[in-house]
Amino acid sequence: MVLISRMSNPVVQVKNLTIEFVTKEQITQVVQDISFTVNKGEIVAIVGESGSGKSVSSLSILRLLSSPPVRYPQGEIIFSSAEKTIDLLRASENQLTGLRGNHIAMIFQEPMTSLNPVLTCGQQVMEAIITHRKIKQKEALQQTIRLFRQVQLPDPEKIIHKYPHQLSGGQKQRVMIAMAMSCQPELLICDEPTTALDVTVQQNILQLIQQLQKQNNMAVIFITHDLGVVAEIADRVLVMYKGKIVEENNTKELFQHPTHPYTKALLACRPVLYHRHERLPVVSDFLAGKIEEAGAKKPETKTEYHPAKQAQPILSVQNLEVQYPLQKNFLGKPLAFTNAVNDVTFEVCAGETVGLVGESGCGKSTLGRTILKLVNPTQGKIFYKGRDMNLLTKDETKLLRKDMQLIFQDPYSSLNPRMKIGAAIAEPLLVHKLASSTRERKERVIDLLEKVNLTAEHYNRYPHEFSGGQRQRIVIARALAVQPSFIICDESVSALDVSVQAQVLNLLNDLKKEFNFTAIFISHDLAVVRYISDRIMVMHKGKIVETGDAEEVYANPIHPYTQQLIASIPKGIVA
Amino acid sequence: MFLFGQSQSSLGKKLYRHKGLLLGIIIISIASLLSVFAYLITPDHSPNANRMIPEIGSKKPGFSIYFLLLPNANNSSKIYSISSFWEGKEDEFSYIPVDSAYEKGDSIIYQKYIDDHVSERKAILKKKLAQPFLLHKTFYLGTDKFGRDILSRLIIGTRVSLSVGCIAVFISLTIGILLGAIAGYFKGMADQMIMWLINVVWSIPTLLLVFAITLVLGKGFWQVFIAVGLTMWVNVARLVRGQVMAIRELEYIEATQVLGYSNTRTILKHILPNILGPVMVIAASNFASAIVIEAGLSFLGVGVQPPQPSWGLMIKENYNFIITHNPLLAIIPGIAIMLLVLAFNLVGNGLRDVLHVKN
Repeated sequence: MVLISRMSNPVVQVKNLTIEFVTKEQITQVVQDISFTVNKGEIVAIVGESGSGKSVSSLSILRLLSSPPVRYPQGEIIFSSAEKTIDLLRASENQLTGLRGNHIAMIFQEPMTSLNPVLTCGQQVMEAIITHRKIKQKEALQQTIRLFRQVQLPDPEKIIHKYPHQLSGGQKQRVMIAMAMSCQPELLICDEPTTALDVTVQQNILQLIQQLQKQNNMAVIFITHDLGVVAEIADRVLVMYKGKIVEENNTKELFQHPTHPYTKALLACRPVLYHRHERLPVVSDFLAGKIEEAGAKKPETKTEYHPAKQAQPILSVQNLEVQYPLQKNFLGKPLAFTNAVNDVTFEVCAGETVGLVGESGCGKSTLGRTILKLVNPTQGKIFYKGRDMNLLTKDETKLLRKDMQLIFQDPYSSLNPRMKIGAAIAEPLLVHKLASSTRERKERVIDLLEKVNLTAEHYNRYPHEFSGGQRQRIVIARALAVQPSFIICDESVSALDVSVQAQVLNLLNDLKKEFNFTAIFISHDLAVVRYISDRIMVMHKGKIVETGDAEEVYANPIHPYTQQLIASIPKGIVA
Repeated sequence: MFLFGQSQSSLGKKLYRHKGLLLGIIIISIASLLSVFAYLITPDHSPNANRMIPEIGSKKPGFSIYFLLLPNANNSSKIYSISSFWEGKEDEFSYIPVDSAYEKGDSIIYQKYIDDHVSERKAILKKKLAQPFLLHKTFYLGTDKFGRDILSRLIIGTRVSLSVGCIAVFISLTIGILLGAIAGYFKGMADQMIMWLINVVWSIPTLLLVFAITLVLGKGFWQVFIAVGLTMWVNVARLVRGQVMAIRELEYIEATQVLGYSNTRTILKHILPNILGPVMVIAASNFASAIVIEAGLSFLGVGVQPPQPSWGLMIKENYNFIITHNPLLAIIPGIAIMLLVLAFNLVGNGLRDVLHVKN
C-alpha cells in the first residue's frame, strides 16, 4: 500500500534531460539524456564521482546554473506540488523565485561559506521565513526558535543571536538545515551535505535529515560520492557515470546485486573491504571486464605483517608540544595559547607505516609539519636518525629536506600551475645536485614518471592538463625524486574519488615495497588508514589517545573516543 | 609567452579576439613607431621641432604658405647621421614666408608675409638663396604662437609621454615587486617595516615629491621620470604583497620548503610567475597614469622644460586660446593624451581578461 501511494505521488520528474556547457571554443555535454523520478516521502541518492554530472543535474532542478554557459537542448523537469504542476526548465524567473526556498529547498556542501558572516543565524533563518510566508517579525522569531529546536541545536534562544563564526561546522550545517526546512518544502536537495564534516558529526546530521524527512513526508535528493553514506540514508540509488545514469535500483538491491560494471567497481574498491597491503581493484579493471564479480578477488590468506623488532627507531618524538598564540597584547606578546599538539611521545621504526587518525582540528597535521620542521615545537624533542632536530645546522637541514618528504592533500594546489611537470620533478634534482647533467636529469624524471604509471610524453605538459589522481601521482613522483627514506602523507588521498583513491593507494603500496621508505600516513578516514598502515595512532584534542596494531585497533578499540570514531564510520552495508 | 601555461597560438588567438586589447595595442604600436622615427616623419626636423617663424604664429589647421629659403651661414653638413635621426638636425636655411615672388635679373622680388593681407615688398640677390629658392609648406594641424608646427611637436611629444611611462613603470615595478615580495613572503618584522615605508610614501603628494627632487637635481625631463616612478611603486608593492601572501599559503609553496628550495628560488620561480597577470595589469594602468601625471607636471611648469615639446607643455603654452579664436591648439595635445591613456587602459583590461589563469 505504502509503495503504491508513493509511486502515484511524484514530486519531481526529470525526463530526457540533457545539459550542455557552451563556451566559445566548444560545447560539452555534461549530462546526457537522463530521466528519473523522485516521489513524495522518498530519499533518492545520486552517487557519482566528481565530474559525473550529479551536482549539475540537481542544481538544474532549482535552475541555479546561470545560462549561458549552461544550455538545456532537450528534456523537461516537472515539479508537482499540491497547488500546481510546472515545468521548471520553462518557468519564468518569478515563478522560480516563488518555488525556491518555499517548495524546493537546498543544503550545500560547505556550511562555512553558505551562511552570511555579517548576519546572525537567527536573522538569516527569519529572512527566509518572512520572504515566503509574509508574517510578522515576532512570529518569525518564534518559528525560528521552534526550527532550531527541531534541528536539535543546543539553546536555540541563544543561538539565534550568534554569528556563524561562533558555531562549529556541524552546528552551522544544522542552521542551514533549519533554513531549508523553514517553509516545509516538498523537495529537499542535499548536495554533499556531510562531506566537509567529521565522521562523528556526519552521522548525527544524517540521522537528522532522515528524521525530518519522515516528519514532513518530504522528497529528498541526496547527492554524494560516498557509498557508505548512501547505505545509511537512501531508499533508492541512482548511479551516475560520465553524465549518464548507469544504474538505478533500491538501495538494498543495488548493494547486493549491482549490475553495471561501474557500480560493481565503486562497491569493490573501497579499502574498508580489504586487508592491509592487499591490492585494491580499480574501475578500469571492471570496465575492461577483468573482474566479473565484486569481491571475487577476496583473499584467502591474511597477510600478517611483523615489523622487524630489532629495527632501530628512525624517528623518535618525545613530549612534543606545539602552541599557537590565540591572543596578543598590543606589543605583540602572546597572552593566551592553544595547544595544537599536547605532550605527544612516540617512535617510528625503519620500514614501517604508521597511521595517524583524528578529526579536523585534532592537531594531526600540525604534528606532521612539526616533524618536517615546518612548524617549530614549543617544547619537547624530535630525534631523526639519532639527531636532535632542533640542533641541526643549515647544511644538515638541507640534507634533512632531501631525506624527509611530504605528500600533500590537495593535488590541485600542490603543483605550480605555471611550471611543466617535467621541470617540477626535475627541480629538486637540480637544487640538491642529484644529477650531473641536464640529460641525466631528464632521464631520471622520465624514470620517475614511469614509476608512478605516467609516461615520458607527459614531461612537457602543465598541471591543469591532468586529472586529480594523475596530479597526485606527479606529486608523489616529485617527492620520490630526492630518494627520501621518510615520507609523511597528509590526507594524501582524501580529496580523491574512491576509484582514484584505490589507484593511488595501490601505487603507494608498490612504491613502498620498491623504495622501502618509512611513512606516516595522516588521515581522518580510519578505513583508509587501517588499510595502508601497520600501526595506528589515534589523536584527539592534541593528544595521542590510542596506539596499536592497525587491525587490532580497528577490531578492538579500547579508548572510548576510538570506539566512537569507529562506530560512526558508515559501513556501507545494508542491513 | 609560454610562461602563462598556454600555447603561443592560443594566446595569440585570444589577443586577436579581444577587440579592446587589439585596439589598444594598435594605438600603442603607432605611438611607439612615431616616437622612434620621429624626426624622419615630422615636417619640421629641427631639434625639438623648434623652428620659430613668428610671422605665421597661431594659424589654423591646414594653413599653407610659400617660403624663400635663405641658407644659414654656419651650416656645415648635409649628411644624415645617427644623431640627426635621433635628435633632429639644425636647419640649413632660414625660412622667409612670402605671398608671392618673382625673378628679376639677378635678384628676387618678393612680398614678405607679415599677417593676413599685410605684406611688405622686398628684394634679395638670387645667389644668396638656395636652389630651388621657393618651398611650399602646409601646416596640417596649424601653428602655435611662435609659428612652430603643431604636428611636428605633437609627434616628438610622443617620446616624452612614452618614455615617462616606460621609465616610471620600470622604476615602480623594480622597487614595488622587490619590496612587495619581501613583505608578503617573510611577513613579520620585514612586512611591518615595508608597510610603514609604503604608508609614508603614500602620504607624500607626487607634486611635492617632484618639487623636492627638483630642488636637489634641478628642473627637467629625468627628474619627472624619477619622481613619478618613486611615487608609483607603492601601488605595485601593495598589490604584490597581497598576492604573494595569498599564494604563499598554497601547498606548492609549502612543497618548495619541504623540498629544501631556497627562499630566493621559491619567490623567483614559484611565486612571481604566478602573480604576473595582476602585475602586468597594474603596470599597464600605471603607464597610463604616468602619462597623465607627466602632462600635469609639465602643465604646471615643473616638468619638461621648453623648448622640448611635451603634450602637457603644449597645452600650457596654448590654453589661453581655448576661449579665443584657436581652441584646437590646446585641444589637439589633449586628445593625444586621451588616446594614449585610453590605449593603455584598454591593454590593461585586455591583459586581465586574457591572462586569467582559469580561463
